Amino acid sequence: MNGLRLSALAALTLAIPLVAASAPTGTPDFPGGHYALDPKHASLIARVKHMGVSLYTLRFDTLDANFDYDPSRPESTRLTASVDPASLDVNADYGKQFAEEFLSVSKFPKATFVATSMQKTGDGQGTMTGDLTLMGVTKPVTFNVTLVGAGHEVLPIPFGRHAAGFEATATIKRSDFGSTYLNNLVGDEVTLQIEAEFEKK
Amino acid sequence: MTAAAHLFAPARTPRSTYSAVAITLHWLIALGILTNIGLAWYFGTLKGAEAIPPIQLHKSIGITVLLLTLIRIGWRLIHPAPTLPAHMPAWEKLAANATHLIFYLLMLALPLSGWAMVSASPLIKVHPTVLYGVVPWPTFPALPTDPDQLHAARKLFTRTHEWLGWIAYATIALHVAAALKHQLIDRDDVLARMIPFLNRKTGAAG
Repeated sequence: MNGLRLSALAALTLAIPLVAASAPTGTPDFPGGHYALDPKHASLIARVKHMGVSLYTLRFDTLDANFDYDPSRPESTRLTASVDPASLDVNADYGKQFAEEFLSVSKFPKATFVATSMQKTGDGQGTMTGDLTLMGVTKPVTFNVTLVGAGHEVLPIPFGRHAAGFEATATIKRSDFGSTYLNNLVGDEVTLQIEAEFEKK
Repeated sequence: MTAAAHLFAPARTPRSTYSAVAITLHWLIALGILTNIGLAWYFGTLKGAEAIPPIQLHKSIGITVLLLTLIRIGWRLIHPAPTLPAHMPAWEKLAANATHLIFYLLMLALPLSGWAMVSASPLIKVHPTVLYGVVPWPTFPALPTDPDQLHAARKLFTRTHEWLGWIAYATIALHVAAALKHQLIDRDDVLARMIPFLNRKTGAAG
């Protein structure tokens, strides 16, 4: 569950590095400014080993993220993101109970990620490192970020909508954040995969 | 009372030995408790899917102990336990009675807390309790529905179950040590009251 939350954060984080990395030629660029997550086109997926036999896949539905982008200094981009861990979706009626048992959501109702550094690793590729706070514990996490695309809708500016989309992935250990419930049945490593479309405001 | 006298004594008169039903219930429950202790340590070492079957067996045996204990209490209310030997000092009799009372409380509270603890877990929906894989067993009644309260309840029940387990170890150790003391040091017939084939040392009188 931590993983899920982390995934969402990671995705957001990914989006930022992607933005930062997007300046090079050959990759889509987008104008500087303030960007906010379009939550209708974003997802935070987490996967964790179940019983040692399968990768249980879950999703957090309530996400928020934004960043300020300066095309001349993409690596200075700083993304902040938050996830409501109680929005855990496991395609079953015990999602709320899982959120409480695995993530103590009534005690820690918010998970946050604040990016602290961006590194470009290739065209439209980068890493984003930041502080992930989950269950009241803050740890550094690095996301691999890819710029999926950028552009604006067919209506020309000022009527069209500028958007940029990123994918971010990271792997965390839920025990680092104090999530040890059912650690005999549910894995410790949680992979996070974030897909995030940002809209220029 | 002599052996002949006790044959003709009314059913409610204390006997020198436990009845066959009481002896059977004692040893069935003892077997269940010891098996469950072993299972608890065993499944604690397992990870993943292989931990589930021994947990399910532990639950089945625990509920069996609970039901047998209810029968045993009912039987004991109708058939009082034999009186303790007169040579025992008052403090020993008090300790024996207190230990037996603690056992009855443990034999009820351990299965009940375990039943409550698994009922409050989200896993109960994935791995419901089916006794010996055959008889569906319900969840503990009247649990909170709010996830926050349910989480707190599960933690409380889990801690209670674990603590009662430690208390059970101590109580069993005391019980076994006392039985051995009666047999090997006091050399009386207290153990023979529960193990009928043991040779009586002082005749049938209790």
